[in-house]
Amino acid sequence: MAELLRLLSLQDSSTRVVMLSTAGLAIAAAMVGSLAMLRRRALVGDAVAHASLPGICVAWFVAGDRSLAVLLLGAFVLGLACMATMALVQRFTKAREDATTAIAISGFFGLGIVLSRMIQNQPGGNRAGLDGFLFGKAASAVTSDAWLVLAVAGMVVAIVLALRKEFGLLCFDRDFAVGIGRPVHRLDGVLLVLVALVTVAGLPSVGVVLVVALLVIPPAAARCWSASLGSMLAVAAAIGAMSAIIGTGLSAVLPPPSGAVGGGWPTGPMIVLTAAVLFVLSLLLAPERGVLITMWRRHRGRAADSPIGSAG
Amino acid sequence: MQEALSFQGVSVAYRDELVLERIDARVPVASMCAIVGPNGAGKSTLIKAALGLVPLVAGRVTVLGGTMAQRRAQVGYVPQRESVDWEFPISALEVVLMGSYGRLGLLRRPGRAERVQAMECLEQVGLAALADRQISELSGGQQQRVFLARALMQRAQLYLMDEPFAGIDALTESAIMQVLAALQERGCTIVAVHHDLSTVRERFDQVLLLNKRVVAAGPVATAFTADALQRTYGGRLAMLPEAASDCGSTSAGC
Repeated sequence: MAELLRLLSLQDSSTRVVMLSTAGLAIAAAMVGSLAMLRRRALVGDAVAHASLPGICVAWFVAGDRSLAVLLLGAFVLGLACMATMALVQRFTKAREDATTAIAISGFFGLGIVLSRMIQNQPGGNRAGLDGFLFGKAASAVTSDAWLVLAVAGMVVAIVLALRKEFGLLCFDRDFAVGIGRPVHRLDGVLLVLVALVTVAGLPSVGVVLVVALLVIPPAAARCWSASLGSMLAVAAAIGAMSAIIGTGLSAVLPPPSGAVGGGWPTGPMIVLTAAVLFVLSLLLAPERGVLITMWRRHRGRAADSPIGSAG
Repeated sequence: MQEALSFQGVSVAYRDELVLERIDARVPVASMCAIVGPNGAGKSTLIKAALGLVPLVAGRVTVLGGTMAQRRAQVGYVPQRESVDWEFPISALEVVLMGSYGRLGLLRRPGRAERVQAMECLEQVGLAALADRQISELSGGQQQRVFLARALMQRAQLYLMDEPFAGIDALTESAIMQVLAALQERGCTIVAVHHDLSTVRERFDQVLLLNKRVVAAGPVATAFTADALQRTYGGRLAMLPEAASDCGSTSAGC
């Protein structure tokens, strides 16, 4: 408990930076995810995430330097390649979009697992490091890595805020945007690159398997509370930040599972579980369409409609 | 400059199938033109082709004496109501503000002046009181009027509208007609996809009868004939040709 307090009060400077970077990343992901969701591209992040695993492996093989920046660059490149592949398949074949996405996700992930097994068998192939990318490392990341993630997140947030009017128009009424001469293909492209950036930046803390949750859950929860794009972005960012801080804190503080070899709880699942709890609370408590308010209205309506029935 | 909009040999294809074939048509300035034809005739596609939303296989579109790219700032657009998600988190006023985006550019955001203008546009369509409502709370007719207000916000010379009268209440219908008449008075041109044959005569002065090709085009008095309607709709027009010309106010069966 004392340690939890110490963590949350951010006395320890490295914990402070790591938490700050994870929260910053969650904010960026929530904002980009809101736009992706409104543009009906919510699952693109999942494809990018799964394509990033082989990307990390390829970077590991190719580059002598195995710093986080290099590995994430590999992830980013393969993420974009995966999106381009999906777009080409969509354009030139009659494959359904959901099938294309599912094939891309599983195919790239399978390749990633095979490659990471090859790395494991290499001299110096540090498998634990790659495992960290699957589920997110405990909150003990290197400070310089945290700054990298924070810089990416800051850049993404700045772009979203600068172009939010245009993204709003693109998501709401693409035809009208074309009608007034907007470069909608380029705007769509920027949005996809932003999705790829936050996804890749989220790999160290949340991991390949769960990072899509940062793009999807906070916006879905925010949707319950907001009637405008601006408030949706703000609420999603707040929910993302809360999930990141609480999740990271829990994974650092909770006693490790018994018999654990490789340290404590992975941060990814903790962050995602926190976000999921906030989502369920949003569904229940939302002011307009929440489950509780709807049930209460229905109950009141029934009582008013049939006074006799309620007596029986 | 005599023509607000003209199509010269325009053809459009979806995949390998031609949906519009060699369209030649002219809409004079300050007229109200109805695009009329059966389902699948390519009415919406023609509007989209003019706006550059669908690529042309052949031909050319001239807008206010120039290309669409040169004249975008003078063209307003009212899409079909079903073309957007009305659950989108946005208020009526914010939708109307989108009409100012064209002149604001990519990075500038609408300010106080634009909000005042947007309120005036909502006022014109009778929705000022609902400015802050989320659009999902509006009725279908109110949503249609929000789209019209957004087009007014564009301050265009030429307005392209895709079924502005589809599925609306009587109040909305008269509100929209008033706005369109005022626009025409100011010298604006209106081109609208229209479904209701019975109201073409009272509302429009020009007509374009379309069924993948132009069947007839020109002033309503000369082009909107029983014979042309018969050729446009083929056997599908249940009404007798003579009745179409004088069914006037009764919309049933049209």
